[in-house]
Amino acid sequence: MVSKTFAKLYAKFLLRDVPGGKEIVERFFDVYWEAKKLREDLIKLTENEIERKYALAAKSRVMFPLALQTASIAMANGVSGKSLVEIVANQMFAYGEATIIDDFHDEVLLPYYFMKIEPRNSKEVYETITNPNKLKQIAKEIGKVKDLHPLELLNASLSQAEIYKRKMSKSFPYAYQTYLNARDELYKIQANSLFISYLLAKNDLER
Amino acid sequence: MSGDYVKNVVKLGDKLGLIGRENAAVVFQATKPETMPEEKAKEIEEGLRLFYHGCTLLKQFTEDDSLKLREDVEKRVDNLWLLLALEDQEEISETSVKLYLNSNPRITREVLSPCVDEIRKGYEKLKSLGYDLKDLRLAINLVKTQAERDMKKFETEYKVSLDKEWLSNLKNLAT
Repeated sequence: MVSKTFAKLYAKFLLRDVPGGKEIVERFFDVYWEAKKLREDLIKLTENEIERKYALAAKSRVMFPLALQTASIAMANGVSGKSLVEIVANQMFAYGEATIIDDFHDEVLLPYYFMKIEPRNSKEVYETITNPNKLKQIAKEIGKVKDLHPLELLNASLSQAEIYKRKMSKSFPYAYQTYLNARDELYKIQANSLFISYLLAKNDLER
Repeated sequence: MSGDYVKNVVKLGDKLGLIGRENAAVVFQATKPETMPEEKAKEIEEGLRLFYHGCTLLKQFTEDDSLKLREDVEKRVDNLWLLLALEDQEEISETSVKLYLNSNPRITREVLSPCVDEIRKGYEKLKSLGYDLKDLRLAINLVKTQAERDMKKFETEYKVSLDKEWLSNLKNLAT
């Protein structure tokens, strides 16, 4: 596979000053590609074509470093083989959820605020982004935005969250709870961030 | 410059930092050896949180928000450089960000050094606990190489000169 060869060469170039860097790249890439395939195979079971497309597209700038971080920590703990691939794929689902919902907030929720409702503070934004039913209602109400399908975008994120929950909650309940707490903290930051974007766009940022 | 203002802007840039920090904790909890004493496990988990929070927050500043400035100014979304420049400027534009960075050359160090400090503290903590470090050296090197490359691109693109003392600190960290 050409892209895999180039990615390995590039990574080896980046790590040329690190003792043992080449070996780490070799070992890591095999795990990364296997985990990526596992994730994609599960996503391909999604029946809605647009939703599936959004879920598969969630591989932005942080997916690779996040997978590297996951693999590094698991390997340092002595995990190898199928379990290692599994844990890397699991965290890819968690990141998939975060990155797709981030797109939904920026591309759908923010335009909705301009068109329909003016949020008064970040608390109102937080109440919206933590309520999937409300988000579904907004997605239906807003219809299509610049070739985006809001409902499918939202569903793609929710289905990644569902897969992650299924894979983690039984095997690693404590770790899964840590994830849920972090997601709530993330939404608080996201609410502030969205509110500031709203004020910036309205030229109304209080300083 | 008011320290609180910078701190609040950094807090807003923390979306990725938080993902990195908690991903480290979640993976550690899910994979730690059962024989590891609970107290040591907690200390390692905190060290990993600190290390990866610094790494991913640094990425957020040097990669995402630096290189997306033009697009973000146009969309008026909360780019960190743009928010920092907003402290002194009435108008929000690429020019106002350039002016701000040129008249406050130390701002990059003030914003990025805390990320490097976190990486250092986390790294030293894990070293003292005997945690396997070779992959952390790899993470430091990746972040350093990307940060250096992206900040150079930013300087060339926006004709600003950035204080890079934080970068030397990062280079010295895991050698």
